Amino acid sequence: MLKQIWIIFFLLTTNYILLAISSYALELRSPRINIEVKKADIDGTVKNPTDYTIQSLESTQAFKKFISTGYLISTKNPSKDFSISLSPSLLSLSDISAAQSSKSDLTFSITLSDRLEHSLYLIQEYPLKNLAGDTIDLSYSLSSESRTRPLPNQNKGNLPIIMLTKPSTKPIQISFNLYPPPTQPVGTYETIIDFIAIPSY
Amino acid sequence: MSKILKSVFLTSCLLLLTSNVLAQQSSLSLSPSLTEIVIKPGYSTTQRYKLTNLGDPAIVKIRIMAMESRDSLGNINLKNKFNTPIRFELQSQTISLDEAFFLKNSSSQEFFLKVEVPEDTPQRDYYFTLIAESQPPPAQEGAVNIRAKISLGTNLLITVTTDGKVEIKPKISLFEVIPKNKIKLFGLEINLFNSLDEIPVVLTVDNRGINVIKPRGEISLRGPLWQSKRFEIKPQNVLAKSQRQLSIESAKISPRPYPLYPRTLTLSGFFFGVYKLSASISFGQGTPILYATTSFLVFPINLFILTILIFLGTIFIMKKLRRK
Repeated sequence: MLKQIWIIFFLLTTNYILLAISSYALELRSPRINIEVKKADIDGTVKNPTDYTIQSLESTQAFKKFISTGYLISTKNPSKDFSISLSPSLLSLSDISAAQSSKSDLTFSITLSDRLEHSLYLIQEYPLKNLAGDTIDLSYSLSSESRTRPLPNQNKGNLPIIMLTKPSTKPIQISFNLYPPPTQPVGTYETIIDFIAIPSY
Repeated sequence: MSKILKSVFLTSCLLLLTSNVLAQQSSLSLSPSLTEIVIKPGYSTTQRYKLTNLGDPAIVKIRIMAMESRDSLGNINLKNKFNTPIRFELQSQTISLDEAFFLKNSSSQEFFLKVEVPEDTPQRDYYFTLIAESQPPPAQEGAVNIRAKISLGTNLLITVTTDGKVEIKPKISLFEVIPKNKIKLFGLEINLFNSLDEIPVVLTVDNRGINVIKPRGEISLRGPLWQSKRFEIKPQNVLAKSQRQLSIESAKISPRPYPLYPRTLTLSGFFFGVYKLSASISFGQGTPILYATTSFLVFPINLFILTILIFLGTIFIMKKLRRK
């Protein structure tokens, strides 16, 4: 009985592998295959990368227009407006001692046009600080993830961080976390966060 | 009595009009999203833009910044300070570059950007981004304030050429599937996927020339029993001296926090056997066509393991029964 099971298993496995293996050899013999190759141009010269004109990239008409007018303009998606909405544009905490657990109070909602490919960048212009120069550390997190990230600082020459690279149909929630030490002096603190939205080139 | 009613009405109006200040919304819209200009040195041209304020009344500034490719995913770096022979000017009586202006809510501002290319401008590409930037609201006294502003951009790609000649010097730098399992067998590396797994495909084109190129073409998938499928690659700009991962995936896909899961295409469905992927890319009429291929093996690993377990279990039970 065991022997029979082994034989059946072996046969099934063999058939399984045979069926799964690609059948390109059969395909080549098939009458359905039609190989289309241009006639070999033995006397033809190989073009240099610099031998092309905008006629290749655009069209003959576009090239003629360029020659006659001296310029050619083309726009992408002229009828599609690219938009960004941010709400609110000011987040305020009146009590600095409440800052340590204030994630839910410090949330921006951003809506971007979902009609075009784009990227959303984020940068802090300068640290969160008061007039005396006392600073408070600030980080951010997206609603879709639990991880918090540090903010890049324009004053330090940091590049804006890339937050998202695909269009979104839903608003994006960005929460900010403050980490003031217990000895942090009270007063007015402020910073500017720049949300930069650029459609794809 | 009427005086009281009047004062109540006026006070209500005043309260309604002023109570919204703290919950401000910034919302801007700009078109077109991309402008490509091919221009001869010594010439100038203008391009129309439309900026709309969809939020609360705002103070806005228009700026031009130099732009360069940041990575192969189409992201960019903006430069505040840059040297360029190309000159820009806003042809408007009310607004000018780098000067703030007031934009009422639900109103639009049209403006014309004049691009002037001096005679001695070197022939190559120049990339810029026109930015419409809102001013952040003022801070509240005695509080911790996070003031936010929005900057909305539109890219401007300028090719300076005397006779219309452009350099097309491309290369496919990467065409590969991203497997969860990679097996080395007889010196061959096999990309192995489980059936019903998503198969991410990456195709990156390198532009070694001095002008922007527009790769287009298709990726074709061939599998067992003449199974085949084609995916069109629509023209996408690859900036000079940079590389770009082409994208086939539609804009409907959900947003992804950067840099997770960058891919050109995701194959999904039931696969079984050996599959071959080939990409053919052209750059316009009469330009070179680039080819690349890759392959992968899809096997129902989970089902196979389950079958073996059931098989071994059956043997074990049968042996037990026989002993009895």
